[in-house]
Amino acid sequence: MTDPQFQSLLEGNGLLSGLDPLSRTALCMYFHPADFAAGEVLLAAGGGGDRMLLLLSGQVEVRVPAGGDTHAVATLGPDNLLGEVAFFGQDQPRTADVVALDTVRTALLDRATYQTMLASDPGATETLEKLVLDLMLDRVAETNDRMVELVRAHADDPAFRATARMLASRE
Amino acid sequence: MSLDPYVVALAKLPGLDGASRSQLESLARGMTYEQFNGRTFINEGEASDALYFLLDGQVEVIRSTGTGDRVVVGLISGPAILGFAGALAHRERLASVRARGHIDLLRLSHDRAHALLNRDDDVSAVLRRALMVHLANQLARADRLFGRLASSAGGSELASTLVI
Repeated sequence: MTDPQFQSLLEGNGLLSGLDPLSRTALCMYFHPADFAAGEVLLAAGGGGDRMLLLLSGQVEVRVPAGGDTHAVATLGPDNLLGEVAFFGQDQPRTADVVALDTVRTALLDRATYQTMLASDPGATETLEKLVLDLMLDRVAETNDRMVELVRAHADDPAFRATARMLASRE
Repeated sequence: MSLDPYVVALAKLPGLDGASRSQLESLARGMTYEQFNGRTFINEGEASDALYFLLDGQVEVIRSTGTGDRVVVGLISGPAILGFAGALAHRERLASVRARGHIDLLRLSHDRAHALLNRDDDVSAVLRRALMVHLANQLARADRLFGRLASSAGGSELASTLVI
């Protein structure tokens, strides 16, 4: 059954604003609502890429496990896509927990629905993949810029350079 | 010239392993074969005019620090796609890439890549999905690297640079 409020939130989401109305409506048919209460985990670190989520309302915190501890690295609100790296990567487990900070409404696309889309709707598939490809390109550019800042800020620290070299070679 | 060696090599790339032979031939037709031995073939600061399909061998990714020093920030082994983020966004190269010993590459120009991606056919879809897999894998690697740096350095400053 269609939820008019969900459809309205989804079609009005900023990430989809650049799409023409027909393509947007066609793509939105494949997403369904998934709501989370404060404290609930939307996506868990180490998990597989079985779903990705478009954040429609509410706030989430991204927490990265490192060295037996957890670092909160970002707070995200509407117009963010979550879980796309593990969804489209090959054998890439999730790198972070995403936890609801308040009541959160998302639009969820699961693997099985995506496979159905791939097999039967090339137009919606192309719309989705071009959207995600552009988002990933932006994120890679941002990641590269931050890596550059990191290298620059710690260029004189031999311990940092040794660690970076070791970690890079391990990848 | 036979495209067979290129098709076989391309089929080993993550994201292209499910592509058909005719799709891979269409991709390979627009590429040029290159090989290097110990040479820097992508230079930091230059315009990104192509992306590379590293078929065999290993490369170093090198960044300048701003003080004239250069740091190896990554090692990539084939099969892999290199330089695609800069080439697709058409921005300047953010790092240099040097062959570690002998490497074999297929070069796809920026213009050709865009032309392929803007076509409305299955070859376009195959290339798009391969790039998405590589972008996702690269982002996941970067996230893990930032996470480990944060852990090993024990600093929230490093953790805050992590891109999720």
